[in-house]
Amino acid sequence: MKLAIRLKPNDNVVTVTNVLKRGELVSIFSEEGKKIDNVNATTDVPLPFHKIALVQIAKGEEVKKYGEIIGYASEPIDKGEWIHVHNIESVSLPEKEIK
Amino acid sequence: MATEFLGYERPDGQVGLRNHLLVMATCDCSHQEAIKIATAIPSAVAVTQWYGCRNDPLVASQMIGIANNPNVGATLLVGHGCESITVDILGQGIDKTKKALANVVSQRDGGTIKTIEKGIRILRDMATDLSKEKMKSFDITNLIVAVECGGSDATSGLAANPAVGNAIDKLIDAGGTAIFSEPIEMTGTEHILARRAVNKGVASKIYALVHNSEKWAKARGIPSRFMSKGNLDGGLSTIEEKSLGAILKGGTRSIQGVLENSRNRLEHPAKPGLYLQDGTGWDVPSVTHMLAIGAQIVLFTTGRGATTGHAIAPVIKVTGNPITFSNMEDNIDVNAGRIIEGKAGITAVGEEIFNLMVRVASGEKTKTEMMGYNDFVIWRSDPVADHLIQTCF
Repeated sequence: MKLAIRLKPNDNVVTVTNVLKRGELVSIFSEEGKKIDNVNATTDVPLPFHKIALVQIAKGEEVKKYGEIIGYASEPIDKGEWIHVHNIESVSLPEKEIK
Repeated sequence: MATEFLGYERPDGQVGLRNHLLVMATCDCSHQEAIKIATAIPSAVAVTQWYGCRNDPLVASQMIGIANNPNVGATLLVGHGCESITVDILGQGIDKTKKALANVVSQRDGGTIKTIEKGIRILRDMATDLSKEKMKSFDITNLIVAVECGGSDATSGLAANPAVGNAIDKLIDAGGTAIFSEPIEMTGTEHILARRAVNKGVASKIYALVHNSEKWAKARGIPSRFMSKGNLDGGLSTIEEKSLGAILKGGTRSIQGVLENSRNRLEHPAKPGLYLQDGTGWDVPSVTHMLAIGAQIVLFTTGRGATTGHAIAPVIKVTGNPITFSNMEDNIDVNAGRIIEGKAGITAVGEEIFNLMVRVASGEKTKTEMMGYNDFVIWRSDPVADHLIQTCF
């Protein structure tokens, strides 16, 4: 069984403590160690301590962790999908370097 | 929890945790002499700055601040002769702490070999005097802790930073002082930090600090993903995510002020408590800058496995990543990865860090000290770029 941590109740992403294969079941725990939910990974997650979506997130919607906005979805994100630089963008700084 | 530590009382009332013999080259042109002099005396360490021979007051202020740090027992300045940050300019600032101070200058003292010989003799006598100093017991209100994170990953915000933050809360409650910097890693967190300001003036300064650093990043075309490859591979996707994890290392107590730098004066903490510093997100210069305003010890969190130590201060390494700890145990003092594994709580690890910090203050050596790490880089903020950013953006 793979584990993930949800930091604050209004977060829509969780941090997975391991790598994931698509379809694997992930047990979601709160910061206090209480079991909250199960989510199936809908994509592979290639590295440990990366994020997956706890719910579906539409393009342009807020991505929340620590109970705060960590960015906006730059693509539609499925429940259980890996979230990283390919589908989230920063609020304050541009994504691409000016060259 | 022990709240007393052993230290060296300096003539100006500051308390040193170590008795370093500092050999400071005024610039890279005299660094070779400084290294050769310091190599002759076991307790000595040679440092310099790398920005050439012009007199940049922010660089000179930090050099003076480092020599004035209470972990330094005595300083030998090693000058070249034609540089603009002269041994006299540095000496005037350092002299105020009334610690032993001397200088040698290659172009004045007859070239490299005579300068080295003269320097070694002075240093030998300084080392003899320092060896006679006795440590005394001091209350934790005399402790100033620098808090830094480097090589962060997603575990930093889940485990290492909250655990260090817990230790910082204990320190502040006991009357101690802590400083954290890296304004770029406060991006998107200014509203959280400002809520903790002791008053409206400090809240405004926090907003200004973070917005200026954002302006600086935008003006230079620095993207959200300027973070290192390791930060990204470690699960951090945006600067806001990195920042929200990073600020947890400063704990939860009130913020007493934002320590600023005019070009020739570094602001020091006026009284005990928690402070932010306007500085850099680059690890070694950030640590050096906090030591230049009197911090004596460093709590340093890492996810990927930063190996940083410092020339004049003990650095305690804490990782929140259990994989990194088992892989790099030789470099890491505290395994906060136990929090992620469900084997320990944040408060328990926080207490462990606090207790280790008090023991290290009293002389217990950290892993970087045992390895003889003497990292040292002075931070320089380009005054021309700073001016342009302020006026054009």
